Amino acid sequence: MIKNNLSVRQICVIMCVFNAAIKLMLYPTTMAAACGNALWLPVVVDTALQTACVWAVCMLCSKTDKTFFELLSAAAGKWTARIVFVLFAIYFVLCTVVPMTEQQAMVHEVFYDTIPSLLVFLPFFFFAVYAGGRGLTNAGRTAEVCLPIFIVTAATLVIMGLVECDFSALLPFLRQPFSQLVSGCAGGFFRFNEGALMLLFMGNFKYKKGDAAKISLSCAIGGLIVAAVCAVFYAVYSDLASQQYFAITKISIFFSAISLIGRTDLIAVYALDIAMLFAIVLNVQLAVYCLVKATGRQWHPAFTVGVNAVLIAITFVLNNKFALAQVMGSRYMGWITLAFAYVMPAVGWIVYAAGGKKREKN
Amino acid sequence: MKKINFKRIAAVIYAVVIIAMAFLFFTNDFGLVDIRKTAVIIGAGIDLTQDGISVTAQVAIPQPSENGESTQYIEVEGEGVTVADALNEINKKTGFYPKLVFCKLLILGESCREGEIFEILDYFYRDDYTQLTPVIAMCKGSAGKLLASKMRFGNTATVSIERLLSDEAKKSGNVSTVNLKIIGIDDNSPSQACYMPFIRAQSQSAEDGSSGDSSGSGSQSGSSGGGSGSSGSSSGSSSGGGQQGGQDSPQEFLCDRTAIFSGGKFAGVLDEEQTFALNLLKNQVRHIFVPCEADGALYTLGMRNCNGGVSVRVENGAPKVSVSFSAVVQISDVDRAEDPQSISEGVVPDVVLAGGEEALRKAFASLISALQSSECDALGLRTLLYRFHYPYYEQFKNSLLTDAVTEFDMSLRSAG
Repeated sequence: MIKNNLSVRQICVIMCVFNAAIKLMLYPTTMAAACGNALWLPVVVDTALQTACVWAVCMLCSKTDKTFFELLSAAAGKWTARIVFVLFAIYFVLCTVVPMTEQQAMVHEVFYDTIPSLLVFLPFFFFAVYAGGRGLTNAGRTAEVCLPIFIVTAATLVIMGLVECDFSALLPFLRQPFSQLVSGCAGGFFRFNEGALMLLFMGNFKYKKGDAAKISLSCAIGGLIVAAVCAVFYAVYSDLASQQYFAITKISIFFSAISLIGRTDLIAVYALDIAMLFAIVLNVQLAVYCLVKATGRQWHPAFTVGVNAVLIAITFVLNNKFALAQVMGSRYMGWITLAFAYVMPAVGWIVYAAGGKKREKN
Repeated sequence: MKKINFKRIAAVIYAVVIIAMAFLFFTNDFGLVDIRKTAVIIGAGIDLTQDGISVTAQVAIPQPSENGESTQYIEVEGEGVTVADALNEINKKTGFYPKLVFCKLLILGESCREGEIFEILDYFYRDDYTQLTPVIAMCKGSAGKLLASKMRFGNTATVSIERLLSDEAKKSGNVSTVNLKIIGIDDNSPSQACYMPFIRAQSQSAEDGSSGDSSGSGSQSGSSGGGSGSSGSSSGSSSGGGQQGGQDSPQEFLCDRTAIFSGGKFAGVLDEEQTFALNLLKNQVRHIFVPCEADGALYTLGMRNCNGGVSVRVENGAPKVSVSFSAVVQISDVDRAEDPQSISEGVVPDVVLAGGEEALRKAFASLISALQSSECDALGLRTLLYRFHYPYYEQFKNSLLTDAVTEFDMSLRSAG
C-alpha cells in the first residue's frame, strides 16, 4: 500500500539538491588531489553509475507499490527484513560521519578566524535530533525549502568565481594515467548513495508513468552541478586546488568587490550551509526511518536521540581529525556503499521476482 | 478551562533553543573578542637573516574610542627559523595573537633573492586561516624597513603600496600586480616561473636630487627612480643591510619594475619598458599610454580596447611563439602644435600608428630577450605548449624559450 509520505517532485529535489549540496564541501579538493585537472571525470562517472541504480529502483517502483521492507518481508521473512533495515540504519549513520566532520571543519575554518572549541559544533546536534525524528515527509518539505536557497547561493558563488577562472587549466584533456582516474573514481565512490536513498523512498510515493525519467534526470543534474563546481574550482585554483579545502567557500574570494566591501560572499556561504545541513540530516532521518521499520515501533524521538548520541561520540573521537574520516571513508566506505547503493537495488529486483513467484504459487 | 498543550509548548521552546544555538553555530558572537588584545596584520614584510627569517608585521590595533582615530598602526618584528616561528615570536613579544585574515600585502625583502621564495612563503599556503588574496611584491633593501617608512602622502606604507598595486593600476599596464594565488599557480605550472612587482622607495630628498633610491639597501646606488636603463637580468646586488638616508624623510614608492623568478629562485628584474610589455601580454589592460616617435615628432598615444596575448604553435615540426596586440588608438599628446581641424577629427595618421606599433614591438622584443637571457618563462610559454599542444610538450619543453621563432602581430586602429 502506498504511503504518500513524499511526492515525486520532492524526491526529484532531494536527488538533485541534497545530493549536490553534500558533495560541495571537501569532495572537489580530494578529487583535485587524486585526478588533477580531470577532477570532474570521477564525478561524472560515479554520477552515471548511481543514476543507473536510481533508474533501476524507479523501474521497480513502477512494478510494485510496496516498500522495500514489505518486499523483503514478503520474500525472505520479517526477521530478515528487520536485520537488513538495522544494517541500513548503521549504513546511514556511517554515511553521516564524513560529511558531518567536513561540515564541522568547514564551519570552524570559514566562519571563525581561529580554531574554536569543539562545543561550537554541538548546536548541530540539537538541530539533527529535532529534524531526525520528523520522518520522510519532513525531509521532502525541507528539500523544497532548500531548493531556491541552494540554486541562488550556489549560482552566486560560482558567478563570483567566474571572474578569476582560467578554464584552460582544465587542459590537456584526460592526460592522467588510467589508474589515477580509476583511483579517483574509487576514492569518491562512497559519496554516491542515491540508489540506497531511492530504495528507502520506494513505496512512500505514488509512481506515475515517466517518473523514473524525472527522478533519474534529477540525480544526474545533481551530479553535473557538482562536476561544474569542480571545473570552476580548478579553473580558479589550478594546481593549487588540492591545497584549498572547502571549494565552494573559496571560489568567490577573488571577486573584486570583496576586497572593497569585505566577505559579502559569506552571506551566500551561510545560506548554502543551511542546505548542506539539511542534506546531512537526511541521513539521520533515513537512519531513524530504518530503525522504526526494523523495530515496528513509532519511537522516533528515542531513535533520533540514539542516532545523534552515536554521532556525538564519533565527533568527539574524531575531534579536528577530519582527514582521518576522509581516509577511512575512501578506504572502507566504498565497499559498504557498493553493498547498499548498488547491490541492494539488485536485491530489490530479486526479492520482487521471488515475491512474484510466491504470489503465483499461492 | 482550556487545557494547556505541553507538547506544543515544548516544540516551541525547542525551536527557540535551536534558533539561539544557530547563532552560536554560525557566528562567533558568543566568543566575544576583547579588542584590546586583538592585532590585525594588514601587511607583512619578510627578510632573510643569518639566523632564519624576520617578519615585520604592520599591525592595526583597534582602539576603543567614541570619536576620533579608532585605529593605531605599529610595526612589530619577529624572528624565527620559519615564518610561523617568527609570527609566534610576535605573539610572545606583544601578547597580541596575530591574525592574518586581513593581511592584504606581503613584501619580500631583497635578501629573499638568496633563497627559494616558496620555501619562505610555505606558511601562507598551508595556513587554513590565511587566504591567497594578499598582493605580493619584492622590494629593494629591507622589507621591514620599507614598511616602517614614513610616507609622503600621510598613509601607512601598506596602504600606500596597496594603492599603487591596486586593480586600477594593474589595468593601466604600469604595475605587475599579483597575489599569492597567481604566483603559486605560475610556479606550479609547467613553466615554473612567476613574477611580482619590484618596489623601490624614493625619499623626498632624493627627488630634490640629493640622493638615489633609499629603500634600505646601503650598498645600492645609482639607479634612481623613473629611469629606464636597467637590464633584464639581475640589477645590482644588495644584502638588505643597513638603512641609509631616507627613513626619516617622507618616502614615495615606485612599482614600475618587475622581479622575475624561475623555479622559485630570483632570476632578475625587468625594467620599466619590459614590465609594461609583460603587463600588456599577461593582464587585462584597459587604457594605456605609449610614447612613440613618428614623422619627426614625439607622440603619446592613448590606447583603449587593448587585447594582448601570447600563443604557442608548432609548425613544420618547430615551435613558434606569436605575440599579438591590438588596440584602438588616439593621439593624447604630441610635442608640436597641430591643426585644430585634425585634432577634432581625431584621425591617427598611418605613420603614427606604425610608430606606435614599432614602439610596442621593441618593448615586446626587449621583454622576450630579457626572459631568454635569464631563462625565466614568465610568459608561461611552456604552460601554453603543455595545455594546447601536449603531444609536443616533451619534445620542446627545454628548448622552447630559447629556440622558438617569435612573431609579432601588432594591430593598432585609429579611433577617429
